[in-house]
Amino acid sequence: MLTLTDVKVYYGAIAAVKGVSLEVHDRELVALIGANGAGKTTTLRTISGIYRPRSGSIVHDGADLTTMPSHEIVARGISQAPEGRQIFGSLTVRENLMLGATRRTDKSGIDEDLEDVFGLFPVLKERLGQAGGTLSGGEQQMLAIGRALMARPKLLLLDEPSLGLAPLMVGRIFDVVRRLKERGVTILLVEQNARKALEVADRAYVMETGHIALSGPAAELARNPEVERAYLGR
Amino acid sequence: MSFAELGQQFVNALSLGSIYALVAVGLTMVFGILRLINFAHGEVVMLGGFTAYFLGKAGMPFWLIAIAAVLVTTVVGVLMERIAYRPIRGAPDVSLLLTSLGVSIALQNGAMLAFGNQPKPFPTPAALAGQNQLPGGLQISTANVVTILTALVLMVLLTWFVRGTATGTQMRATAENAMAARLMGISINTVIVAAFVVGSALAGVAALLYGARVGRVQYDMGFIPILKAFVATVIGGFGSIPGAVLGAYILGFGEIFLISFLPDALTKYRDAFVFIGLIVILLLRPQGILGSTEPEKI
Amino acid sequence: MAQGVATAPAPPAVPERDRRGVWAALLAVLLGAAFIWLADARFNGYRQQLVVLALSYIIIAVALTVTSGFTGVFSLGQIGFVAVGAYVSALMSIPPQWKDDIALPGLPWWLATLDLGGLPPWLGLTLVSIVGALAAAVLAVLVGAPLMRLSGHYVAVATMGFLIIVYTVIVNLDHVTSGARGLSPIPTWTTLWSAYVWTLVTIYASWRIRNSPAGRAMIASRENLLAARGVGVDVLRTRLLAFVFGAFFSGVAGALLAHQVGTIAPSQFYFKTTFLVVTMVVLGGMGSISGAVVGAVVMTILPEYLRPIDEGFTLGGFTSPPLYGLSQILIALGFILVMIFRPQGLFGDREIGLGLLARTKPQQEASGEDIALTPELAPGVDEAPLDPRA
Repeated sequence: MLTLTDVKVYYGAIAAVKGVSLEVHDRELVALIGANGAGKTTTLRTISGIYRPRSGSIVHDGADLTTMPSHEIVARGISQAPEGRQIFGSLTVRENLMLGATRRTDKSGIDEDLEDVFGLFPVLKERLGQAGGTLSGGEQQMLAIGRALMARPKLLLLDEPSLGLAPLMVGRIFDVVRRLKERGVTILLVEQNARKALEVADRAYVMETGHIALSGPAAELARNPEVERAYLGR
Repeated sequence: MSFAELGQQFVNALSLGSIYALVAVGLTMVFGILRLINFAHGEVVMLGGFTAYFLGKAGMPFWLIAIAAVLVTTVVGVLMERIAYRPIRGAPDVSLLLTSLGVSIALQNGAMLAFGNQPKPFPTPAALAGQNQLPGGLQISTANVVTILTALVLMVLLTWFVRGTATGTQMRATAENAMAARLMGISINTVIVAAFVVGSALAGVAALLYGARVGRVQYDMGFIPILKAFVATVIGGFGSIPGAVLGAYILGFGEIFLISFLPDALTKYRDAFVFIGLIVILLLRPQGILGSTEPEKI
Repeated sequence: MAQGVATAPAPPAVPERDRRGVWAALLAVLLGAAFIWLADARFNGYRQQLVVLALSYIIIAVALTVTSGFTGVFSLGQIGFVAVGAYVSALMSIPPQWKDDIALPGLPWWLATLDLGGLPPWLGLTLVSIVGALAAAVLAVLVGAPLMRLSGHYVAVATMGFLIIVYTVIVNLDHVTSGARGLSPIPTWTTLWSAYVWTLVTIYASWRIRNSPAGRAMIASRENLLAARGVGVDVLRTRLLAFVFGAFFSGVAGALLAHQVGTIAPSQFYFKTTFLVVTMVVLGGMGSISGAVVGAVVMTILPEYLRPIDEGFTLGGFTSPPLYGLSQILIALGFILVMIFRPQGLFGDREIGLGLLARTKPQQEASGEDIALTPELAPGVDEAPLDPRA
């Protein structure tokens, strides 16, 4: 279980995250929605150890992540498919996937998981030897998620998986997200596409300019008039 | 130019290029990951040379000297990273460059202080000193052959390391996208240290080959190799290892044949021509031959 | 800020703060003049040379501040322009009998026969300084036009290439420049006062540029290239202006240096001096004119005080051996420490009096005025800089 308590992250003198508290219970899919620039990506990156919060705490399964270096956080089973995919374009699909398993030592487990990723994303198996940069946007997103799955994560962070993708591809990505949820993978999903996010999530938080404005079960938030107006376009 | 002369120049160029390549690789590896142009890399070479001198003076056999020199340069490189460069990580490009200039000057003067400013003889082993006769009147020095072969073997090993090992792949990933690499659980520190280890070790080998070639070591002997390695890196593309190697050989050949074809009066301006070439490349194609990203230009 | 009465046609009153600044500057100039007068009257020859040296370095450091500090485009080739100024002015002023066919066969006849000996020294110096500076400026236009398109370490590297080219040419063109063995005898026309006047001119000109639209354009393009372009700043022209300005005054300094000691050699205009000047500017703060002045003074005086370390000294009963190079090591180490702990130098971007010696951690606490040595795009709110935690 992941717990953020009053986390504040600063860029220089500017606060990007202004005291965020949230929880993700095991096997839950929690959505973090909000407009561009609200601080959602900063929050995810802070959880992964890219940024250090100026104050507040991040705890996962009893371990304090707040000042932990990023490679240890990954070793503890928290992996991320970052915003914009950020796959290694000059490396092959295979190398990308295997990098996801950097902190693992169980070779047979890694091989199993690789097959599993191929099952979820057959196109990756086809393109195994190709350079990551030659993949289409949707394929790169699949690679990013597959790569994150190769860490056999206890907590999977997905940052804007639908960003820049055509509606058909968005649907496919969310199908995969749904399948992962059904398997029991704990997921924290950041999305601008609030509709899709609330459809698949158990609970959700709405983030506005660095703080949590609303939270609750996803279904409730989907019916909330403020949320409808601001994020669901009604 | 007769065939024999041409052949000799060819071998000479190949040998010179090999030495530049060994130095340039270290430079470009570190740049790829840290965006740091490590001017002090030349001093790493210099310290390798001095290690060879002192151990040679002590009568050690050359194969042992070689191992020791490489060990010393590796340690120097790692210490340099830890002490001077780690604290300024994330600083703007030019700060990094200036700091490396500072380290370079500190080490050069340190060497001058400790070892004096007179050149010392390099303990070239007798085995390397010979000449060999080939058909066609071609004469190649053993030193050149050893240089070329050594560089070749090391390049193959390096390629295996960079492409076939986990650390090598992590290095490539980090050079491309450090943040994403961290999200993979890659320890950037480990990767950086690895880059310095490999680069400095190769610089140690370069020190031995260069020392054998010029026959002496002195406190500022790193100056020329680093400038050359630097030009090689620009030609090939900052951050690209194959680029650095390619650039090194192009530079080696360019230098040797430039001397041959330039009118006598202009040969002493060789360095100026090389740097004019450098500036032209920076203007026309700053990412070099094999570099990937087009840097910001207005 | 004190305002006049707010009626439209009335001219705006000079704000209180600015008026104080003008008085402070005048005071500084007078104090400086008093010091020079003192030095002229009382100091021995060696010390006077040191003052002239400091003044010359002030000029170079301030010039570099405009070229690199304001624009964020780092030039490692500054000393090349100093060399040009030095050599051009020297070749003009050296008496004809020393630059004839035997000494310098490559000189064109009009230069070889040029005899400025009849001129009063101050006029001769002014003349050759301006010509030398103009030569440097013209070269800067030619070199800068292509090079100022580059940024970051690319331009640093390219300008370093320029430095090496200048050095190589001077060393090898020895039938014109007398090569590595040095050029002499140059009439020692430089006086404390002439150096002081040129220093004032340089500082004043730099200060004027800083507060001019051109200067604001420079700083804008340093902070945020895209934004500056967006408001119509011609970045290339701005950078070129800064580059040429810096080259001109570097040329002046070169002429002053040449006519002080009476002899110049290419080794004076290479990496060692470059690093010295860079240290001055970094120490004082890359965007600060007053910082450059302080840095130049410190880095001229400091090596003097450190010289006993190099040459060996006796203190009480303790005698230290000559340790040549140790002073340089200490300076280099000091430089590295500054880069690590206070990369913005003493004053950062600001001038003396405006909140001196502020922040200690510029990388962590960014503000609009912080020093950027290269133009960096301002990130969006959602992107904090990488915390080096790895």
